[in-house]
Amino acid sequence: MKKCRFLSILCTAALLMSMAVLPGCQSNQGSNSAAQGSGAQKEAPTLTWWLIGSGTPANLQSALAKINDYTSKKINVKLNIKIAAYGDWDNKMNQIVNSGEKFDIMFTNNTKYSKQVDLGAFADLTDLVKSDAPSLYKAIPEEVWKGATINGKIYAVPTYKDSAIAQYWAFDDKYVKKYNIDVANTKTFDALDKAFTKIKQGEGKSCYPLKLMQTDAFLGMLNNYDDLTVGFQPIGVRIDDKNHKVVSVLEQSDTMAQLKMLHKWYQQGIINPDAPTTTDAGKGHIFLSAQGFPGAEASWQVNEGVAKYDTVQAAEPIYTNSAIQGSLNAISANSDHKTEALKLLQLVNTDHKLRDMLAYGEEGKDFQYVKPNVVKRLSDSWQLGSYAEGTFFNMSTLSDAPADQWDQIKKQNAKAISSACLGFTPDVSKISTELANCQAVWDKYRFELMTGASDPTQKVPQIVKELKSAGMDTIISELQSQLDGQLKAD
Amino acid sequence: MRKQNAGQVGRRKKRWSRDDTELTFLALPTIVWYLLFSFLPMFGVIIAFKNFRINGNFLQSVITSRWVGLKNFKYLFASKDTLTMLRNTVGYNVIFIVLGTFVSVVLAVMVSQLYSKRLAKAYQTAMFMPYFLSWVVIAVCVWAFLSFDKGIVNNYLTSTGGTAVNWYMDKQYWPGLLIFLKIWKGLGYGMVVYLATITGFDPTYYEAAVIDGATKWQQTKYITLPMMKNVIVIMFILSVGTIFFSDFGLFYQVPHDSNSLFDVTYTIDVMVYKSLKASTVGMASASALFQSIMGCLTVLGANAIVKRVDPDSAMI
Amino acid sequence: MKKSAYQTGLEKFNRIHPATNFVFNLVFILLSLVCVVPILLVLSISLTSEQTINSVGYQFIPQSVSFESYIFLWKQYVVLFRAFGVSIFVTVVGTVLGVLLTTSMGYVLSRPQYRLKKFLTWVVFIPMVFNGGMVSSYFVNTNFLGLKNNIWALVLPLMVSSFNVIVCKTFFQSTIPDSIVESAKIDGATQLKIFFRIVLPISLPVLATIGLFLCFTYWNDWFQSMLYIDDSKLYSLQALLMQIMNNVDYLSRNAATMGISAAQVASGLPKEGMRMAIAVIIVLPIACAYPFFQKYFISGLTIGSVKG
Repeated sequence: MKKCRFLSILCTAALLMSMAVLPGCQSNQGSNSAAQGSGAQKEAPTLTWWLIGSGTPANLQSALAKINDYTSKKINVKLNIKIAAYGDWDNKMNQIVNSGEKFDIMFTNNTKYSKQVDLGAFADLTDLVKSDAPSLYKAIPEEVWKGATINGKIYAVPTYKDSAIAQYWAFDDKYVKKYNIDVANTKTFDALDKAFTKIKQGEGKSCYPLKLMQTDAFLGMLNNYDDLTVGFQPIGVRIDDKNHKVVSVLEQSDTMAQLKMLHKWYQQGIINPDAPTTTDAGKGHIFLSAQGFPGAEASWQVNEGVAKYDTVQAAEPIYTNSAIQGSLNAISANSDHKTEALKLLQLVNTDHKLRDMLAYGEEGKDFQYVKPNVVKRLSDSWQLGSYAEGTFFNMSTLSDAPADQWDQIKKQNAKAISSACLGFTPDVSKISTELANCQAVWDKYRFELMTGASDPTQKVPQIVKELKSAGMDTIISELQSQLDGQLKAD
Repeated sequence: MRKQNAGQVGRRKKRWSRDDTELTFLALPTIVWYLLFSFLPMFGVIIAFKNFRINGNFLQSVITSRWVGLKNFKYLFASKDTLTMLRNTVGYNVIFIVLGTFVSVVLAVMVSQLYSKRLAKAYQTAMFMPYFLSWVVIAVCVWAFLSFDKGIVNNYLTSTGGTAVNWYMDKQYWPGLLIFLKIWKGLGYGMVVYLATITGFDPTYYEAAVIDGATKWQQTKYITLPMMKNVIVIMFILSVGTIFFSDFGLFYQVPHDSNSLFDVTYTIDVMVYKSLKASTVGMASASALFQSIMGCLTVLGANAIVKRVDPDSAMI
Repeated sequence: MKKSAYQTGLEKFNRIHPATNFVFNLVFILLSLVCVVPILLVLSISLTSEQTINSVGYQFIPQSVSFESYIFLWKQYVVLFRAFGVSIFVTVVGTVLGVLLTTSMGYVLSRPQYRLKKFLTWVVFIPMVFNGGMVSSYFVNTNFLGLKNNIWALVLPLMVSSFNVIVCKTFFQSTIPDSIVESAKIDGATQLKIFFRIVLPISLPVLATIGLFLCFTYWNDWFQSMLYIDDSKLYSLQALLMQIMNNVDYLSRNAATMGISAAQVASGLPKEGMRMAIAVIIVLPIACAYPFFQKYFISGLTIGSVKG
């Protein structure tokens, strides 16, 4: 009996372990079910598409069945959607890409796009999109395609939405009326100074007209400088500089003026003293700086708990590579169905019905049509990031949003000016060490500098000195030579 | 039948005995586990020496990527703040190890001597509570205490007529606070191993000592502590192996990554995390390999020193 | 069990001075307070409404008790219970298997005459400092071991830790006298039998310690779910709660750009309070499991195995 007990324990352990190992011996490839050679595809191939969202909806399979019904009839393609939750997305996509796991389409954005292209993860779509998906190519403006170009080639389908940055400033109407602020003409830091000073004098010590937080700080402050998707703020090119000169942003006169103003505000108590360390934005902001479009203040009001915001467009809308790369869908270099994937993306970006199904879920269960172009949400479970799937402009609007929301955005996009460096995304592989070190130096100072806690006249020279010894000049010259090489060829 | 004599530790070449087979069989499941989950994936360390690019599946990618020698390690040492980073990482860890071991051992001995076992259990459970909290939660607790306008401490200060302190921007308090937090979090956990050791002691030793007229203090000094020696030394060697690793949650999340606190919170794991945005797969692999090698060297070094002094206590 | 805390009369004779006991107790009361007070703070914040935190700040006793965080989480009870079940299964199975594998290896390494001792010590030591990296492990686990979307992905990779093995080995070395093993061998027992029938029963403190450590590792893990599981039905509780928290975070930061309905949802979500409520939910079950392990290394339970 005693021997039996030991033997049984050992056997159970061995059994359990082998249960795990044996299935894997067949080299489980997972997704691609129709990888059986070329030739006539009577059977629709199933494409794996990685999207982002709050999580996997409970009715994903039934919604997918309806979608697949539609897509297999239209283009003989089936979908298998996989969703990475917002918090997991960064890590999970790294794993998928780096481990070479099979997929067909993947949502990506400016934080990862150029690195993934560098790694060789995505397929080159430049010719493929023009030949196999011409209506997709026409549906997206030239500038937006340009923004997704790396080294002259297109590696992903950009999502055409509010792709141009339009910086809006908003004031709480209560204070506007109380202190007679001329919002429509407040478009510069000097004008803001007048407004803030008035509010601060009137409201007193514990009121902070400009409440900032650690990350982001004053959103949009450096919009005049294109960061070339590198994401390193101290280096950039003025968006209107036809000569594309790469400069040290902190040392430019307009930046210095803004930083000095921020410091003045910090010392005067207009900015909250814990701005460099607080990670929670809080609510009820008296002043907001955010990206938007006409009518966007409706959702800000709800989010902040403020009755009314008076807004002004602080600057013209701008097309930059970083902005356009806010949402892209790339096709894997390992995919066996590149053409089918392109055709699918084409359908998503041009077909109204499919677009709505992707954005809102199962018709009748998650949403229903109130008008041909307006839907009402019936349940909360379909929480995919619709900005990641495809363009907004063939999508229905929600019943509680302004009906002309998409038209407003389109109009705004049309007015946008393009950055002088649109179409240029650098290859940073040669300067990765310098970039990593410079980023570390910048991180040491950036929160306090950008929230006004430190004195820019002293700090900026110190920062620049440290950046130079960390290799900033190398980065600037490398970027400049790549820029000159590429854009002169245009 | 049995070819060995019990208790001999000679250098004679022993013949493979039935005992050895049985023991190997007993260890087999674990050996298989190590093979599958530790050694098989270990080929990934060579990524540190390559310029990783995707080319087919992972194995193919690793094999076909170009060798770049030590290039991926450069960024670890090129920065002027490398010294600060190393000083912080190693310095804090030395304090954690020494202080932590001392406190855990002393408390374990104390708890084992309490009259009431029920109270002893209660105290030990209470002291274990901090271990259950993640650093993110602890960061929120610290923020709840030290936040400038919403924190408990500042609210108390202002209500009694003092001025609020901007805690997160004043670095003088933080080394002490961080050390306190680390010891506090590991209090109950560290005690467990030592408590379990003490509990496993043969009481006849103590009985004999009492008959010989030993006091409690003498018993502790001559029986308890020496019998714990092995465990204390092993735990010490194991901790030394992590001297080049730092607790990311403690040094990044708790201080809210504040610029003013940089000098006292910049450790190696914080540096690696921050450079993740700009670094490549190869660079990330290189920093992990660096930490591993340093950890290996320090453990082997500590082990060698211990071996000189007391061969039985050594780990290897 | 015995009513008295002492097992032999000798223990009563061999106690510390009452004054010392008093001082010790004071020290421990102080330490316990320092440890428990933050827990109370966590509990209190979890019961405070988001609004109060924003307006008044953090307090030990909330101005107005609000269950909004718990109610929000309760609404998702279906997925939460399922994740709870997953976590229980993973923790129990993982702990049992892990204890078996760890202690057997620890025992084998503690045998002084074992021929492969040095070799196996290195086998155990090397993975403690070196590992192939996340991507490498992910690749091996998904391609060779078929662990993608498989509940065993949450159990197997965490089963053995070299730290635990070495702790085990040290315990066996210092508390198992050779004479027991030798006398059993003389009686004709195999090593396997010795291990299971003689060594383990007198090593309850070790088992409890390793079991406790493994239990915590499994219960707190969320990383494995995030990496290997695509189907959220197999998520562990910790992973699911992490996901909920991250989504709330994300939503509150980006709601304004996602439209009015999103903004409405976001403005109603409790954030700080919910983070604390999640912490409480995570801690409660494991704190309840803790006393079960504790009795093995506090009670002074020793078995007079070497007597006579």
